[in-house]
Amino acid sequence: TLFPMTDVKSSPPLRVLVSDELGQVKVVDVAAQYATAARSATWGTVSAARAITSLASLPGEGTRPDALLVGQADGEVSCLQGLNGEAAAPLQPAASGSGEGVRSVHVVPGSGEPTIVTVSAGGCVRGFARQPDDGAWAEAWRWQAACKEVECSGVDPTGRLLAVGGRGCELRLHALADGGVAFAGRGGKPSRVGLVDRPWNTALAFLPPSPAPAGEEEPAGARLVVGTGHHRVRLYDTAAGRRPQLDVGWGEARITALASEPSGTRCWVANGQGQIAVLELPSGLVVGGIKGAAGSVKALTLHPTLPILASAGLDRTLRLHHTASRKLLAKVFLKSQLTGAAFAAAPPPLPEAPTLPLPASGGPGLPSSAAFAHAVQEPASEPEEARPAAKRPKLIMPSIKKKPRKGTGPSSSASLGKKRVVVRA
Amino acid sequence: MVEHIGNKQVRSTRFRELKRKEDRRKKAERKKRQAAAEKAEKAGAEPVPKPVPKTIENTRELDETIVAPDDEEVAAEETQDEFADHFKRVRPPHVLITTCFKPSGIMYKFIAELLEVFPNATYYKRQGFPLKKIVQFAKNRDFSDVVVINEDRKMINGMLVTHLPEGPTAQFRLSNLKLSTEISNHGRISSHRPEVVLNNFSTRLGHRVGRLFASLFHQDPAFRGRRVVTFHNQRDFIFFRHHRYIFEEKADRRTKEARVQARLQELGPRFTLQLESLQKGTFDSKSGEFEWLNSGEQDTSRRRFKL
Repeated sequence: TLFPMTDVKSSPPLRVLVSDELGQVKVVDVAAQYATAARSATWGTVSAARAITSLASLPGEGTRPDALLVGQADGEVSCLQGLNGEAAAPLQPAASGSGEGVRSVHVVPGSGEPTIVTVSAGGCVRGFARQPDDGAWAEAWRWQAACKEVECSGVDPTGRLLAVGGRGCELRLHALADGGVAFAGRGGKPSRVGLVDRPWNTALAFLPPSPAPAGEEEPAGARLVVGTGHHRVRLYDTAAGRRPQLDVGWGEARITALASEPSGTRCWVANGQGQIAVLELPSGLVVGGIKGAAGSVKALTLHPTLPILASAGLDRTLRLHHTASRKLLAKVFLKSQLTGAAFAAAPPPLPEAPTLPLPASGGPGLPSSAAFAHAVQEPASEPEEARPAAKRPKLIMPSIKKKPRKGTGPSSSASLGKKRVVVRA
Repeated sequence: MVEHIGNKQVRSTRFRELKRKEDRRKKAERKKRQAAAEKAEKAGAEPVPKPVPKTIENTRELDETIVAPDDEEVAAEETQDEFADHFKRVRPPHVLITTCFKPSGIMYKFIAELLEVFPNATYYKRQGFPLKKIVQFAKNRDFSDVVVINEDRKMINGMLVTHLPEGPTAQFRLSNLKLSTEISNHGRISSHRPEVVLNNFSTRLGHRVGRLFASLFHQDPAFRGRRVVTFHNQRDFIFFRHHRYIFEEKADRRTKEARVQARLQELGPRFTLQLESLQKGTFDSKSGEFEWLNSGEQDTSRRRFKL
């Protein structure tokens, strides 16, 4: 079935930036209508110490072009130009000074310039603001999160809260400005046997803000989906209570990635065994799944406008799927273990080949200019007197090719007694 | 050809006729071909090259995961991966061998042979410790690898290899085990460090698994001992063989020229492995992350292999 508005045939060219565990960013260009998908460039040199742990795109504004923020395992955060991967305005200081790796990088849109927020593996949260004079990003504030072994973090849609999850501490939502705990979540209720999982949140994703209640400007609370290392998926609503509003088990491995759809009713989940599924919220029912990933899926990214899901992981392959039909659109093998994926603005299309200038009077061997002129003329300028009166527009029916059934039809009966020969290329 | 005949007896009779006709035609064609080849050879012309039959290996569909021999990115990654220290000869191998819970007699015989195969290996009783704890103990005592052999109802059926300290964990299914006592004319294993031969590990995953096997043995073999351990991958089955070789000059039967040939004598155990999963990090099957698991592959065919 083809979905109107989401027809594959009308898809534009795409560009996906994929980070790996060797400190490289690989640029994958997908042609229009998924004709081809291949790596077009690699930014960075191979270095396992500078493994990239997180990617964030920094949209351009005014004179500042699009940029890509990259957080590395050695603790440094770098800013790369979105078009060619060269170093852009640096972040000062690049490393937090504690020697821990960067866990995530977020871009918080603000009234003027956005703020860059980085979270280290030890829970050190830093905020960067752009300096007006030299364009570099300087550290504006820093505070310590409640969690000391951070594994996931996220910024809520309003840009005021930072959710931090990891080992040893349940979910906490901090106010970005000063680090004060705005919401302290509790874990799931004990199981029937009375067992409680140790706090271990491995992935989280905020849901789009629910519509504000009547008479108020802002929605009551923030809603986010959290995945744990004990294969549970939980939905927290800060307005409804500290316990999760939904707590379901899915799969048998740790949840590694979450991506919520803009509608707010579905959420994509992936785990360490390469399973990807889409859950309906708030019921928590599995609506569908994606097969194909052979290794842990480290990153799930939804395209901002089109219904495309990018998944990348330890099986060294980037896959693009259609979110509604769950069909595979493109698959690219990228040789190294992948850790993050981000959609970027597709490169501008190549300029059209210029038409040859018409020869003035035609030299030897060249066709006469009159013949040339006729060929390059637009078809509309053909003699219109020859055309009959206005015709009805020709209906273009979609061509539906029917597969011949085995054993029936004229072709199969004619081949009785003959063996079909399959020619291998 | 006969699918349209519904009556089983008529169909089977017709099929037999057609098959006989086909066999006779092929025989006649073969005779003609052989007669022509003999005639040509007698006349002195070049013999027609024998047609090579198509096998699954030589019609293998090459996919994009196969590593090219000159791939710089893979080479650069391999200088920095978990096995780099072993290949740079900074960290010699020291293998800890243990078993599943409550092994039976055949396990002890197999482990006795494995202790002779690996040049630097130590056996510890399982004693009911969970695997995660055993990995921790091995790290404390500076082991480089942990090998766990699994047994079910007196049949050895599995092997788990974990590289330490944070290396990948591979789980294999072990089959067709033959101990050296069951191999006729087997030789005695010496204590020379063996050479390691890794055949057909062509894809990216194959490279990882091949390096895992190589990290169980020393990087500088004693060539004087003429001992070789082979991990031969064919159609995703890994065949383990252990031989002693000797180079001899022998007269070739056809050309009657003296040629140096290798003669082999099989030594230690012989078994077959199939990769079930490769997990990143040390053993943690519940909440670990897998690099490869034999569950999700969709776009696959009979002529496409993973290693």
